[in-house]
Amino acid sequence: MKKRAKAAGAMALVIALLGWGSLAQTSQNVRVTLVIPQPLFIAAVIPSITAEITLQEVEGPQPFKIGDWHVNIDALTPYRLNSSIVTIDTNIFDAGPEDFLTDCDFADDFGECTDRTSLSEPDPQNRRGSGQNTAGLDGADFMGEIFLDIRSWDVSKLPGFYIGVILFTTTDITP
Amino acid sequence: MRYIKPVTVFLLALSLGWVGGLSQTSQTVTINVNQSLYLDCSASLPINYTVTQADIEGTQPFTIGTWGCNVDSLTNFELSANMTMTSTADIVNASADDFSETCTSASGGGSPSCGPGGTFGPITLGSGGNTAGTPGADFSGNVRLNVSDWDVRAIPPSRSVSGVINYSVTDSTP
Repeated sequence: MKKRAKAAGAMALVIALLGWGSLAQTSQNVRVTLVIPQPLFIAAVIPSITAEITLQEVEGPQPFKIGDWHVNIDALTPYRLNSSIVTIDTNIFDAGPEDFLTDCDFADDFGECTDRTSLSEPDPQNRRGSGQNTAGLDGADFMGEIFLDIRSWDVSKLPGFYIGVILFTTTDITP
Repeated sequence: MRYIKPVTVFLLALSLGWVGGLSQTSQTVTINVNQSLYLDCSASLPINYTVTQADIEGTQPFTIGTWGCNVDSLTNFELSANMTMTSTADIVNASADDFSETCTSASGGGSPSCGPGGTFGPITLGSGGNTAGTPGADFSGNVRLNVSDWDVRAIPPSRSVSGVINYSVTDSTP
């Protein structure tokens, strides 16, 4: 009987469920890396202004309006908006950036206007406004008007012309 | 001697009868289960994503990648995830709660079902039961990002943020 019991013991079946190769874990990590090459985007909605000086404008109050400006800003950081005009070409004596003024009379999506009007001086005189992160929005719209004061002009060649470029810039103002 | 033979025959018969009536044997079965849950998230590839202007203007959160995990199970289980940020110095307010995950598909063995997902910290992505006899339960979904509270430090240089998403499966038997 003892011999038979031993034989039965030797027949014991042992089944071990061991690890299934590379799947033998209950936790895994996945690395996430985000790159932000640019946190500020600005687009001019009104690409150009063309104005012809009329007699009424010469006689009227100075400065007078010559057009509108409108930019849209997408931001991932607090920012300020500045604008300045640069003279490209003119045949008018004494015509220059200081003859142009502007205002900001509309801002949305967390944007705020300033009351500064210069297009020829450095910040903060040429600051149009400021804003914050616009994620999930269609961007902050800033709008205003552009004015011209021609009291200093000396137009000696006809047709007189002035060509300039208004440069809008956004700047990160995170401390 | 004539009397001895019948006695011997009787004892032999008795011996055979004893052995035949009480014969026994046994077979011992031992099963070891060293692990009841197996997680394979090799379908969750590393995410390297560049945030664009369209992402900023679009609806928040937006999708930056996908995840996928396979679970082999001998018990009821719950699939969870959490995220740890490893680098946020370039972006003020960047944190794990800017990231979220959705579960969009649960299929395979063990009657799997999607969980609610949500914004990190710990989130439940899905659950299921015993998957024996099947290739396991497959779960998949999207990794999403909300940048609406970010303040990216001045650029250049290009800025970045990084983190690690940890997927885990646990026994949910009460």
